[in-house]
Amino acid sequence: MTEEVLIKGCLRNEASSQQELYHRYSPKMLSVCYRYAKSREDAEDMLQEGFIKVFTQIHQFQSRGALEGWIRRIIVHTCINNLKKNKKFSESVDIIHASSVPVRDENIPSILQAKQVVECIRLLPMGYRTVLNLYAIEGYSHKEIADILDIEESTSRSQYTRAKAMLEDILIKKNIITKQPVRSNWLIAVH
Amino acid sequence: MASNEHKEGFEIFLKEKTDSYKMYPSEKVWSNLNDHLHPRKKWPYLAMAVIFLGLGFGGKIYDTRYNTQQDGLITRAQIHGDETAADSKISSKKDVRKTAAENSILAEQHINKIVADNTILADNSSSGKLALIRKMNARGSTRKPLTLRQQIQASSNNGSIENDAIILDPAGSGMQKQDNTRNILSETDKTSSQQIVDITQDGRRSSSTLRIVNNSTGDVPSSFPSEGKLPRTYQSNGSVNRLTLSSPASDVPALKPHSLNAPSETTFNSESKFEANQNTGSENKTAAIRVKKPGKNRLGWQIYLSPSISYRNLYGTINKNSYSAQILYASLPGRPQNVNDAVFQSPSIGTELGTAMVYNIGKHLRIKGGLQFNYSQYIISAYSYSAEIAPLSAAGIGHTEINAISFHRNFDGYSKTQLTNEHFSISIPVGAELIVFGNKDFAFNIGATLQPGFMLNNQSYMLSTNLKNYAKVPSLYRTFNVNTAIEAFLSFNMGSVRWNVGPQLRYQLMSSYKESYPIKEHLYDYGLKIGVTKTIR
Repeated sequence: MTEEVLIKGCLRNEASSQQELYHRYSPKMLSVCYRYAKSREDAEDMLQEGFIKVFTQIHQFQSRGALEGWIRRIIVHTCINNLKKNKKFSESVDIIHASSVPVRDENIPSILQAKQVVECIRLLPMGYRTVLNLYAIEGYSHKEIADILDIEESTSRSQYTRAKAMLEDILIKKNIITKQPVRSNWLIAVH
Repeated sequence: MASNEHKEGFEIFLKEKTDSYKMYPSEKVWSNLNDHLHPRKKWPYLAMAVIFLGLGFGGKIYDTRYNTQQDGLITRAQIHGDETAADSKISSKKDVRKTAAENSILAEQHINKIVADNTILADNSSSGKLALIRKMNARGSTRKPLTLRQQIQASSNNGSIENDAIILDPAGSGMQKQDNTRNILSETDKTSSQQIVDITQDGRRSSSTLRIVNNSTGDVPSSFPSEGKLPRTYQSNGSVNRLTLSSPASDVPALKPHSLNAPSETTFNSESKFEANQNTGSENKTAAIRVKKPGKNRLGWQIYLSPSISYRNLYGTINKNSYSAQILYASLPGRPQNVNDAVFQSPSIGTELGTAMVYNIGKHLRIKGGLQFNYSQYIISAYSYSAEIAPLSAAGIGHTEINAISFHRNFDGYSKTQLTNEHFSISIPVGAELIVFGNKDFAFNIGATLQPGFMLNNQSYMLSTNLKNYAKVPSLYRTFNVNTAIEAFLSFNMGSVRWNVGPQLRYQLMSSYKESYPIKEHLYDYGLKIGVTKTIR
């Protein structure tokens, strides 16, 4: 079923089209949610809420862009809104000197490299993690992140810098990446 | 949104890795999502409940009314004419003949237009039921002296009846306020050993007369209070064989026991209409009571319950060259040739609950139609497994690809698990029953019904077309289906109802799934059907 047919079906509120669209994009979107959420259960709740918005607002989708990108933005905003409901999140994301926050020393299951990377990201403090997700993976600018999270742009930058450094350390410790001392470039460790 | 152009290799690395990572949500996410987007319509359940309750209450009310009519009684009698009349003949004022014992002697008199104002019910059954005479004429003193609906049941039993009671309820003071006084007299016909009680209105003894003909075994008082002091209740301990009531002479003729055996100056015809001859001016009219055998009871109301064993048959061929088939063959001891042999399933308990109207169209044949709720289930032995794509459409050109996420395998999974497929449906069975042999008290019957119906749920696990996985795809379920049922049962009378007990087989004629799904499923149930039928007309 083509994307266009799916969208038309969803516009007609057809369960089969909605199910097809859900099954097509939910795996990717759940991994997005998982990077923001505390647990898998929270991630599934976010996913569910996000897809409800997708199906109820699909008439707003402009066919000029990619459907996946549109869904992804809705999912990310849903995740952020969920996080912002938690007071601790607002505090954590606004801390400039968050480097003192200890990183949880957890064993990462060595299944796949992608999963390892995601699990390493999840080891970051919530504030760091969110900014890193939005900037490095979702592609938002620091200004956009500042607007989304209601923080200063400088705070977003500093948070990201610290988050990046912390994640580098974790990835190196987990032997997922190695840092080239001269070119400061990142190479993937070969397992 | 910022582009990735200015980003370093680290960000690109992170994005590549995270984007390639997929996680499969659990089934409940879609289930919740679907429920949110498409709230289940509750009206089928509500409608079903209302229908069942309606039928139940309706049947009960109808039954109660019918019983009231029977208890209150009355109607048909015939004295002259044919042989039947001879059996049931009330030949004289002395008694009611024993030959009428097996027939209810019913007499109904519609005496006046304002029938509803006055009701006199008399229950004179042999079980000693209460006789009720209710007078509801409380509307003003200027009304006609007496308008009556008289219903009389004369017991076919000539023996004594204890505790018979006659309750005269003038509805408060309405009756006593009438200008016309009502005198109640009692007479004893010593010759015939009968007591006759006359209630006279308008001061004219003969104009309104209530006569209770008694076999003098009771203690009917020889006289009642007169001058308008009508007792509210009069209880007779005697046996009342026949209660006749007549109205003023100007209105209707009186029933006079002496003349019951006379040629029918006044008769009850077959429609229980009181036919008076033209001699309405005469003081006393004679009446003849026509006894008629009760009509055939054709219509009945049935409720039934059928605990059953539910199972299914799957139809479809296995592509022996497919990869899944090869794995399947390697996993199974035999080499299954069809889909039904490639699954591991066991029956489970189901049930049917229904109600129907039954109509006798002949001595041995009945037709019926009703409403039935069906619940069936069976159990599938499967294996838990991580999320996989399960194909559910037929392969080939022209078939739309239908895939679903599956967490269960038919074979070769992580751990064993059991999946329960439950089916709820509501159907409208229409069919016939045939009495093979037996009599009205005990018979052996066979029956068959066709049951078009609607599925009320569609959350069952479906086998993927590669026979590898189980997944739920509600959109592939057929909403409308047709079942058929055959049954053989014994029927016997117990009290006022008729019981049916016997085995039943129910089979789903159409596949549970739509045509786009190549595997066909036909459900069937076999169980013991227990039903009870109440004749209502």
